[in-house]
Amino acid sequence: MSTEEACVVCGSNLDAEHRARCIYCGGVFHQPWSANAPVPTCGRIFAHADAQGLVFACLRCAQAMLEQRQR
Amino acid sequence: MLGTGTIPLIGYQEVAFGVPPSAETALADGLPPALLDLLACIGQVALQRGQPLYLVGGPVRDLLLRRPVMDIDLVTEGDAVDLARAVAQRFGGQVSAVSQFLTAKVRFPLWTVDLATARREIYPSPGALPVVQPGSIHDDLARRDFTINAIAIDLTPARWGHLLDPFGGYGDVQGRLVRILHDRSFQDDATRILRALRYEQRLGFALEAHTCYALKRDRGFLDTISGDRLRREVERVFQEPMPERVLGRAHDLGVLGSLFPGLQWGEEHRQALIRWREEGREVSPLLFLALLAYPLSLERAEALVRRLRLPRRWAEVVRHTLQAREIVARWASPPRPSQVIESLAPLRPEAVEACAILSTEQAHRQTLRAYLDTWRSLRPRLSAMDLLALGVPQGPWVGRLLAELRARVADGLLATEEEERAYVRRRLHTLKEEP
Repeated sequence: MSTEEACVVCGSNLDAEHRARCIYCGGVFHQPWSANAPVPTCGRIFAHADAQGLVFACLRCAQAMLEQRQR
Repeated sequence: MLGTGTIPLIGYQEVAFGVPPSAETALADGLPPALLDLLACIGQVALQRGQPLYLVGGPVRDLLLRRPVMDIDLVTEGDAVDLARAVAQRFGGQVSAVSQFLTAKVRFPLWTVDLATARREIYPSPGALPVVQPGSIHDDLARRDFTINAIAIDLTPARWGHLLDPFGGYGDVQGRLVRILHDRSFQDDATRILRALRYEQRLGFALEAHTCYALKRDRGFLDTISGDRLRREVERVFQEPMPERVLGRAHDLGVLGSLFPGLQWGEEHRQALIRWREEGREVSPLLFLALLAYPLSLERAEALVRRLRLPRRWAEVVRHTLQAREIVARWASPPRPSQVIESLAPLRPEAVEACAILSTEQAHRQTLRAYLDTWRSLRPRLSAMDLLALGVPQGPWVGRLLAELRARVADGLLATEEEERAYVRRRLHTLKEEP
């Protein structure tokens, strides 16, 4: 059994550092935390100016959420 | 699973978290290849001189927004004027507009590039012009008005396209927010209040919550701004694509009243101008001055002229607007076209337009539209030369008779050239008896 975890968006392996968990599906995805990080950006981040909340969403869920918000 | 379904994140804005991505793609997409080559060459010269070079401010914001870039503003740490001269010599440009603030323009055949020395600014007192000293690129970004204008793109060859964003401007571009860099920003320079509203409306952004609070809190600091500086900012508002949006927002936030007591852009202004635009009519920048002046009393209007140190043409617009308003208010019954022409012709068209937009009487609005569309351009068929040929003596009588002809043409009393000639001949008999 492999111990390596795959990104729920692009399917390639995740490293220990550049990752985040999606608030919607709970899956882990690539999230680069530095300018030269050798990983794609597989999610989006949302902030609430008043609540100072920070929310991570994988690209698939973020897209679905934004489409719903537009509707 | 942490969550199920998709819950819209009400109140959340998307942000770019951590270090923003490289702007290399934005540069390549937003600027013509030849200009990119030129910037790369300037970056190379700067590198040879040991000077970092950055694209800064508005062009960076517009590149990130994928909007057309109008200006090329470069900042270097070190002497920008010397760099400008070196660049001009190497690539065939011309240096001009060298200023005491260590800035210069380099004109190339196709583009003009503004080069400035990175500087820090210290405001000795609210509203005063800042004391300027050479500084670092971080100092230079820190002195800017809003986070979206405080981003730099590195043009040094080894770091080409790297974004320098110490205040989170990239996130605010993504989140479409206008945000000040520090709490006292509007106190340091209250002209930023009007600039914030201009950016907000032009770019379709929103004021960030604390910026909106600080703007309302500090709007009284507009009093610290000199008339000339304030007028220039107001002029920039008038030159926006849709000034009414900025003025409406300024009204709602209490900024117009702080700019000058009595100024307003309420619902009446908004609806009237929408109708005016729907009629397909031109809207000139000075029309907005006339619309703002329209409700003022004579004393307040004169105070406005003094406060903003209005130049002659602007002051005329203000005074003529009040005159036009008074003339129109005296119309008890529909006036004859000749009366309208005689009373309104000496006034600036923006003043008459403001009355045509804001007059509360529909009949008056229609009369003013008829004047603007038709009557004011009516001329007699006969010219001054024709009058002289008919025997009118040279001197003031020529002008007086032309005015009489125009009035009668407007009132529909003279329909042909022959009728005009007959009228002049009749008048020639009575001229001798008149003073």
